[in-house]
Amino acid sequence: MKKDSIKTIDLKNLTIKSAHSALIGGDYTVRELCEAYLSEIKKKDGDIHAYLEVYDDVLKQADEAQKKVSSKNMLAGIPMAIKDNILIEGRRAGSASKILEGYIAPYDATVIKKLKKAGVVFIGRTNMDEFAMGSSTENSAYGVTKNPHDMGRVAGGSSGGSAAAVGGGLVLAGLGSDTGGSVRQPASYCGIVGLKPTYGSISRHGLMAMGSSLDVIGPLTKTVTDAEILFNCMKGKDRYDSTSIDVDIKDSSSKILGVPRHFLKGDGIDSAVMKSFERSIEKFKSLGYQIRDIELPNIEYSLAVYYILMPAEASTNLSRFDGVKYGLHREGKNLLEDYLLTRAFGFGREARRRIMLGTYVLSSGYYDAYYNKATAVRELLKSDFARAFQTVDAILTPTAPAVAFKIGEKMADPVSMYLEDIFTVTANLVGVPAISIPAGSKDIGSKQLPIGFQIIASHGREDILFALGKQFLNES
Amino acid sequence: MKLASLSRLKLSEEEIVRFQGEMGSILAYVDKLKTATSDNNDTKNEPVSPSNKNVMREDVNPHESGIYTDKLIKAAPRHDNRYIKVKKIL
Repeated sequence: MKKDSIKTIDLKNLTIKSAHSALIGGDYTVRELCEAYLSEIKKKDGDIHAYLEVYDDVLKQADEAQKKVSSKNMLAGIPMAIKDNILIEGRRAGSASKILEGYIAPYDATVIKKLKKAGVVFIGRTNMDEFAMGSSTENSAYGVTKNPHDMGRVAGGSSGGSAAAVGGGLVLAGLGSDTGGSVRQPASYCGIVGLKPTYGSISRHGLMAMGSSLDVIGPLTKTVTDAEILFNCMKGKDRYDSTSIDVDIKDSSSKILGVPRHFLKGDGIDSAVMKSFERSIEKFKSLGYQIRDIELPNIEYSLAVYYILMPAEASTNLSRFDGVKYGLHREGKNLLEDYLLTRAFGFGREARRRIMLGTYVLSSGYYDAYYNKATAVRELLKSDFARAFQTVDAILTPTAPAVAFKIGEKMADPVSMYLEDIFTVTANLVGVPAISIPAGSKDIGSKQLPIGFQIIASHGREDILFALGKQFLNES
Repeated sequence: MKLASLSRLKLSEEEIVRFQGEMGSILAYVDKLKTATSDNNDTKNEPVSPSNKNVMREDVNPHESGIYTDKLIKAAPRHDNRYIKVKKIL
């Protein structure tokens, strides 16, 4: 055998499933696989900036993981990248915020515990919008992550680092968190698969909270099969997260897919995205599915509901960052001034905007008009979906209204950035699972920018998403 | 201004002007909610009990006392042995 320092592995077409076969077949070792990724990171991540930190003990982890490689253990030796808001004991975690400078995680998140047990190798922690607030990773305190398909454009967000790492071939799979689309939208922009599971199906113990009634952890992968493997490893009730639930694996036999045509008429949707979406619908028809037009009467209010409830919950969750318990501390004249200065300096603009927005909608004079009203409309949305799922097995929409936008394009106008989430937030408000599937691209100049579409199923029916997604991508 | 202090954030004059503009446009957007449910009389202006509920558990079976203490104290920017240091409040 040739004694190359870095083994040549076809990383571009590698999946968890194929890497697993190669590892048990002895084609290469976990160490060689990880070395191949580290070398790619060295070559490309200076430009992409997907990682905030690449761990210095990857090869040591790899040697440990090698011992777990077996035909029963699909994830042993699989290199993964973890979003900077998920805790790994003894390592830095900071939600890409200055306010957590120097913070070391005191324990493992439950998902990390499960992945460690399975033998996953953690390559590094990835960039994100500060505290998962944003749709472009431009709100990171540590610089923007670029789209591997076009360095002038964003990777999406907030899990942009994990998405760019997977899409750019800098890791095999990643973890993100999804509060309003933060796994699905960057997956769509980077040409990969992003799963937002059913609310509660994966424990959030050790995930930094943003909107607690919305947050879920989800995998970013190249195939639906890989997403399913990770979901099955991470799911299940956890005593450390009271909102977690067990999801039974069901056998799916879906026939009818719904499309909310009335919601896809706005001129804010890129025609290339709509064309790709229509082609996806045609493909499902040719696969034997029946497509039905459905009404979701309150869906046009989703984004407004979301931008009330999410800041309300975020402002509450972020009140714990005060310069006393962790991270940054700025010295003032008295304790109150310590708080004011620490938070003013530590939080970026979007975080401060949402803290104030949340404080506003929860203040006694406006609580009824905003928070209560939004809560009521959220219930209407839930009944809209419950009604829809009586007649269809899954719902299809685009994932995002357009392809990845240029860096800086939406930073001056928060509402234009928020509109990025128009198709994704509803699944979080309702609590149902949704997946973004890559479906072609739009040519701009010499670049091909990926387009994704979204499949939404009812609570606990990830099996439907996996079955449809695999069929669509011709995965066996 | 009052909102910034309720939010425990110190803002410069320039930031206040900027944030006021941005918050105004966001609130203008979410105001579309006012038109929601208008043709749905049964839910109009009625308090709805949310289906999202708090999940409580018994306060039992704690982890072994003290196993995280040092790590958590060390995370505080200002600490002294087993104490977190803060300024005088009264």
